[in-house]
Amino acid sequence: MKSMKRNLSLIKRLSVAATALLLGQQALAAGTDPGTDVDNTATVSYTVNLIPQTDIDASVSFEVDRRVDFTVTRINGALTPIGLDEQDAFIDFYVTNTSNGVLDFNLAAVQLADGTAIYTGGTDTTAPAEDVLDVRVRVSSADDGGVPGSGPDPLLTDDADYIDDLAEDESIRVRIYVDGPLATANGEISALNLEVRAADPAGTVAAPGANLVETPGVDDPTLVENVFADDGLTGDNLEFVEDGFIVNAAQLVVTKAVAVISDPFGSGKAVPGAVLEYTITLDNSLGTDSADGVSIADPIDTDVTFDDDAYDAGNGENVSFDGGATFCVAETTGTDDNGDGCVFAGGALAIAGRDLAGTAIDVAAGATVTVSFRVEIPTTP
Amino acid sequence: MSEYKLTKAIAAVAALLALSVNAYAQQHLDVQTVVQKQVVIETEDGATETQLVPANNVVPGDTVVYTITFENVGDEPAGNVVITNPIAEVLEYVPGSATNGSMRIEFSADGGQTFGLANELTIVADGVERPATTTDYTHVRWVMQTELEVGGTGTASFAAVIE
Repeated sequence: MKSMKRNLSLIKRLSVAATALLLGQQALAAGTDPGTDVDNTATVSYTVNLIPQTDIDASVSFEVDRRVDFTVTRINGALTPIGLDEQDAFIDFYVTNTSNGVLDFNLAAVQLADGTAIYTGGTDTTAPAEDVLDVRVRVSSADDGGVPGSGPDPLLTDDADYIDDLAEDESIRVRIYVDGPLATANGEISALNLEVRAADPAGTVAAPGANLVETPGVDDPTLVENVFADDGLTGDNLEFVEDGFIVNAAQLVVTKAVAVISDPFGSGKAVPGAVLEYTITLDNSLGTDSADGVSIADPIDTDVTFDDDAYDAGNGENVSFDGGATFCVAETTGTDDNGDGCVFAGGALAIAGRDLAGTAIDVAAGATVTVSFRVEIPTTP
Repeated sequence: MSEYKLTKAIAAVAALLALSVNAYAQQHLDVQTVVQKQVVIETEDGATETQLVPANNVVPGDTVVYTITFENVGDEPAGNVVITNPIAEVLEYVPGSATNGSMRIEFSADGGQTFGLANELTIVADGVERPATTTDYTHVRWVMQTELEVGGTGTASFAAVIE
């Protein structure tokens, strides 16, 4: 019996706590709906010569107007990497309706100009021709149920450019999809603004509502009018926030060195009869993406001869990769007979494969590939 | 007989006239209510000051002020003048805003069934009696302590915030 009593009092306390929570939630509500009539009637009762008289009423009323207020928030804390020609990369935002009624929103993604400062403390560094491509704005299929930034991923198949009927105090996710630029240097920053404007909630995705305008002049107590409570950057019916992409690309540094391998006199000099080794270094250590399908064209002085069988006598292999890891054959006949992408034709060495199978020369981000070949200085001019 | 009828008819007309005169005479008090919005403006020297402006474009969070003015336009003093004003559902009474020192200001937290002074009012919530807070108020009323003389006027006002 005693323990039951204790349980009861616990339940009571819990229910008090629950009530307090409910009250707390109510306090968050964005307020009385627009269009609500607030009537007020003062009633005066009195007597004359102690005889009660008919009460007198005096009434006044007004209609609650629409407080237009909303926020747009970026979800990412850092720039989003994007590869060259990468398809459908995205950045995420959410829009929160803090007005006192349902609102629609028109959305637009706007490329920021080269040099515009952005939130990371950096700046947009891409000229229009270097910006991300094919910018598309998509809206999540459902609001985020009171947890800003959550909710379903906005998909490419979802509604574009328009939020239809976002209830007060609700948030919904918005995603900007882009494709990577085709030829922009590694580390360049392409930033965009998501611009949000509150629109007439009578609109639909198919027939978007017009952007709301603040109602000028004297109040019409019979109409729901718009009051912009937006304290954002511009103080009008516009909120925006920027986010951006940082280009991940190969950043290849190519160097060429020469060394004397042998000479008839052991002098270590590039004298007639000496064999020289050229080494081309493809250095992608600064890159954040691989350089794929690298091809090298190297005109060779007509005074020197290309050194066949330099690395594997008998097989004609004469171009070495990574210090002998693989070879290809640059046919001195001028025809790429074995189809490995390497050929020596008309005084020019062309290298586009790193082994006899013609495997493409790829230099991974952070990696280095060396290409070596040998020439002999002719003894007879 | 027909003379009697006529007399009766005249009497009825007279009675009608008397009624309408009576009805007019009963309008001893003229009562007006206005609502205004309270705004805080910044003066030139950077100070802020509260002003009342027409209740245009009222949105949640705004404070409105109701002002009830009354005048004894009759020819006899009015006694026991009580002004009762329900506070609309979407309004929240601003503590201490009801004015007029010469009248007793009372509140109700039970839909106007009972009234009491602010510091005496209690409500029963979840079976527990506790002091009523301003958010519990459903009505405000002003009880005039003296007679309102012929030609006498008075003002009562209170402020509320739109939820």
